[in-house]
Amino acid sequence: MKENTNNQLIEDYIDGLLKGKELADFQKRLETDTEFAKAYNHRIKLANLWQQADDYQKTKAQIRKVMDSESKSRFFNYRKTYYILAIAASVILLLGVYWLLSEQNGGLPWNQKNQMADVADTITFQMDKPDKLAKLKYVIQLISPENKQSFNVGDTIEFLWKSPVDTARIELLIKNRNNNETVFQIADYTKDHFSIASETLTPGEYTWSIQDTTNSRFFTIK
Amino acid sequence: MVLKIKNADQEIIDGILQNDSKTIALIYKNNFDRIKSMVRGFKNISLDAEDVFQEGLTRAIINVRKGNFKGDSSFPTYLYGICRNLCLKDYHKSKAIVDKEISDIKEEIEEDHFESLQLIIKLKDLLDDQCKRIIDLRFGIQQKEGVSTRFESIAKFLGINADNARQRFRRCFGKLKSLVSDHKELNALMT
Repeated sequence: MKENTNNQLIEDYIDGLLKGKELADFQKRLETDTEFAKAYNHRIKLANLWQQADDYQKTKAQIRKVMDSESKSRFFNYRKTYYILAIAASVILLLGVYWLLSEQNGGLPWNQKNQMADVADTITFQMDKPDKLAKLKYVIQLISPENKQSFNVGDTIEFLWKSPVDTARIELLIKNRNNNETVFQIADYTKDHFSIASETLTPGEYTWSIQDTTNSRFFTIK
Repeated sequence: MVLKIKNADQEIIDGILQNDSKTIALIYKNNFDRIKSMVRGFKNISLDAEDVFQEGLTRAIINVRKGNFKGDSSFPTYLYGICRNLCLKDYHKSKAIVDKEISDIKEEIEEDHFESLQLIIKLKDLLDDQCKRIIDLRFGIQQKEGVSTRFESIAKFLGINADNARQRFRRCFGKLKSLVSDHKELNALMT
């Protein structure tokens, strides 16, 4: 009861409702009554702490809000950088793969054209697996027998050509040079050479070539 | 009081005093990574870098507002010192070494004061909304420190009469005092 009265008195004093004798008594009690002064100080201190705690809480919340927004924008910046780097790396990787493939197939396209034009006795060859390699062109070089080479009966004639692709279906043709009749024909997927005994053919002049090509060499069997 | 605040810090201080969020963002951009590295250097502390930075900056800002930042060090050093002290305190929670080590930043005063504010916030959460509201109004939240709102104004604001406002406050203030007296640490700080 006494506490309630004291509290009421303190609140009235704060609101400036105490006048004259009431006010003088209040001020005198603050100086003389320790418990009363303690209650008054407690009330004032608690109000100040309450205000400061509110300010502290609001400041802290404001800082967290700014931190969240800043870290979000940092995250997006990191992600943006990451995407740019990832795209750059992908482009470099693709260019690298393209270059490697081009090198395997005779260099980069613009170099390849010139190379092909310069090589004599070569042909472009369409691969026999169109689903995989239809767009890739290779060159086949006829190596031996060389033009005008002669063989004696009993010799082994070795036909040698050079193809960069093992799986190409190569068909070797030997024709009679006089009437252009095919006298020997053999197909193989893996070979780059073929040997026949000269007895297989009668003496005379022959041409040899790879089917579907325009280049040929001729040789003689004596 | 002679202020030694450098020009570089003056803009930050002005921004803080104007409650400018852009200033807080700038402080975060310029200081967070350094403080994060410092926090990571402490092993086995329960605080993470974000919490340390948030608490440290809150204390720094409040100290600036109260005029406790005197510019003996730059603001970034001041903030770093406060954050470091928070980590040290957490790290050595149960060791007597704390008081000796937490002395490098003289301006970071009233550690206990911030702890009492945290306790008040905890106690406030134990009150019902009606009590929180009337105590907020009477204790003059959003008013100058030490200024209370008269019961007549509170009554008008809440749409009740002044006597009802007085009674409601008396009841709620009684609850608050009881919570404070039940809380040893806070009660010790109040006396």
